[in-house]
Amino acid sequence: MNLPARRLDPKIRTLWWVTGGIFTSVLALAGAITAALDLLNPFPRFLPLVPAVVSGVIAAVLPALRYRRWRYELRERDLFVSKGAISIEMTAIPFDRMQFSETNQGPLDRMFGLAKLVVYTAAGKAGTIPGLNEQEAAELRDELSRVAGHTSV
Amino acid sequence: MNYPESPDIQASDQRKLHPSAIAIWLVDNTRNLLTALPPLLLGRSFPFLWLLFLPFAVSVVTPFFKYMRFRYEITPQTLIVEGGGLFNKWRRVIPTERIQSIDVIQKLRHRAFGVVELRIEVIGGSATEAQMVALKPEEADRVRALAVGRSGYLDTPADVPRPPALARLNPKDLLLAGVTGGRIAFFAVLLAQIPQYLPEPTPKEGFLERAFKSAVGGREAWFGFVVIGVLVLLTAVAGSLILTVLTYWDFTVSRQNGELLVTRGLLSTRRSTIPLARIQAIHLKQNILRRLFGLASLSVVVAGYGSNRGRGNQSAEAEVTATLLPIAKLSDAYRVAEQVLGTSTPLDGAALNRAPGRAFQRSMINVIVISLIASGIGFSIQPLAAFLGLVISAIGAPVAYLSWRTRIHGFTQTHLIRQTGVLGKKATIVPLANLQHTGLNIGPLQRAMRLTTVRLSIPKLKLSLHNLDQAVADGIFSSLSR
Repeated sequence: MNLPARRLDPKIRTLWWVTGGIFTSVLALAGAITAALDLLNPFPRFLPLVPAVVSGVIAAVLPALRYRRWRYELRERDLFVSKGAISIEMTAIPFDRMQFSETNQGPLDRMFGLAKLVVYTAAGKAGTIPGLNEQEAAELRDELSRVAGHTSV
Repeated sequence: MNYPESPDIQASDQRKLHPSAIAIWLVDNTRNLLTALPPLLLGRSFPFLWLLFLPFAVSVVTPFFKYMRFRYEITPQTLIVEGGGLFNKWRRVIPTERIQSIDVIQKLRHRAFGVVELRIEVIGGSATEAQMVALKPEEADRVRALAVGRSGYLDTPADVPRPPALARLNPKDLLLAGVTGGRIAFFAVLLAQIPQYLPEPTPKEGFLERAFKSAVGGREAWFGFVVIGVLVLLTAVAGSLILTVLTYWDFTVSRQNGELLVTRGLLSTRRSTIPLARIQAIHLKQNILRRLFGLASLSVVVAGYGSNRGRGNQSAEAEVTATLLPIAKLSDAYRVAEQVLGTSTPLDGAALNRAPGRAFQRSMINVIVISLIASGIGFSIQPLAAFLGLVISAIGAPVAYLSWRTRIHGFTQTHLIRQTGVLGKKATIVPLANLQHTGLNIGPLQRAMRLTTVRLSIPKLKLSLHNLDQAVADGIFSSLSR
């Protein structure tokens, strides 16, 4: 099974690194304070730093893996989306089943000029495409509202 | 749901509920009223419990406010409902063309006041959109007639023939349903909890011990336990039977005008309509007892058929099922399913396949990994605990094997049938036309073993076909997205 053709905007990878970095920093700070004060006495002193280290490793590696797999493609009859860092998850959303779509922008998304598109069918949330630059997002949303409800493009 | 703006209601044809609504709301809220019990019983020892009087007071006062605030008005185009509680106010405008069904319910509390309850479901809604808890039957009929353009059932003349029943349950069937039903387990568990909560004058001796000592009068302990156990079980069975018979009394399913009409109940009666077009899938369930007797229960997954607790308490994703047949012979259940789905091919004859043998291998690998991890952790705490892993494997292996063997599925031209269950059995039938979006999941281990899980989404139901052969899964995925 081939992955969909189009990739996300590379800036999303940076955004994920930033969010991961922020989270790791918070853990590192909490861990450092706990370690310095030796609050977890019976356990070794360095133990509170372990979560920060683990988080740091994941935060460094995960964005690249996610970026590699998170793709989308407008096919003849459906929107084809794939995602997943370790497990692959592929979804086909037929146009004639699409009910509506929405674009979201979190605070960091706005800073990077990115947006997220979410597509819904009668069964609920069907697919999510983050990391679209604003123009791509608008184009995709307009194209989808043109074809949604029709059998093929 | 957003409804279009409407002009303000003229005071002229606004109506209120029957005043018995207050009493009915109070009865509905007995759970909240019971919060007064802990303070009354134990308030002296635990003064903070008096705080519970606040929710109790709110529960008593709210129905009066709700009654004063509730207004409705029905025209041929719209149903407008306004209401509110102690602090909030709400208003809904429902175009009548979006009303898909109206349930007429009469529980004992309604019967006491000579009223009925209407619950209105809306196309695309996920919960009961409007609920009128107390209306005089003539008024309920008027609302029904205006809302759905059909004459009500309450005044059906005697000479109008009832539509032929698809299925009808007599008391013998109901008893069978009760005896084999899952409610027995529920009651048994419930009854077993009671002894814990009774006050104990002597801290050392529990209620059960005192009971069996007095019941048995000095013989061996185990005999007393058996007696108590049998009594508990008998009470549970009796309770389950009574509840089932009362709920499903005179259960009748019939088909009219593209809808299923279900009527049931003795003390509480309910009349529900289920539009055939909104049936998303069908479940045929057999617990182990029913399986032994070749019986099953049939329920339908319906889109837009909401929870009975009103808006806000049910997510749009939750599966909502309505029981179509509490009990029937398995083959009869399949025939009704075929009628309901409008298919002529016998659904119980479809060829069903299981996942390839590698699927079982993958489950076994998971079991072994978990066992090794558990052994490792156990060993670091206490050397003998390494055997924990063996125990996990000993349990995990047969479970994995049986799950693999019993998970089967098959496709006809128009339907998907999936069956699961080791002791009990559950068959789910999904018309392929209802499929919304489909997906494939491949984990790292699955990729190595050329396995794939297929995800199927229909409204109100998500189904997965686990660990299929990769080529088979790709084929299903491609043909379904076409």
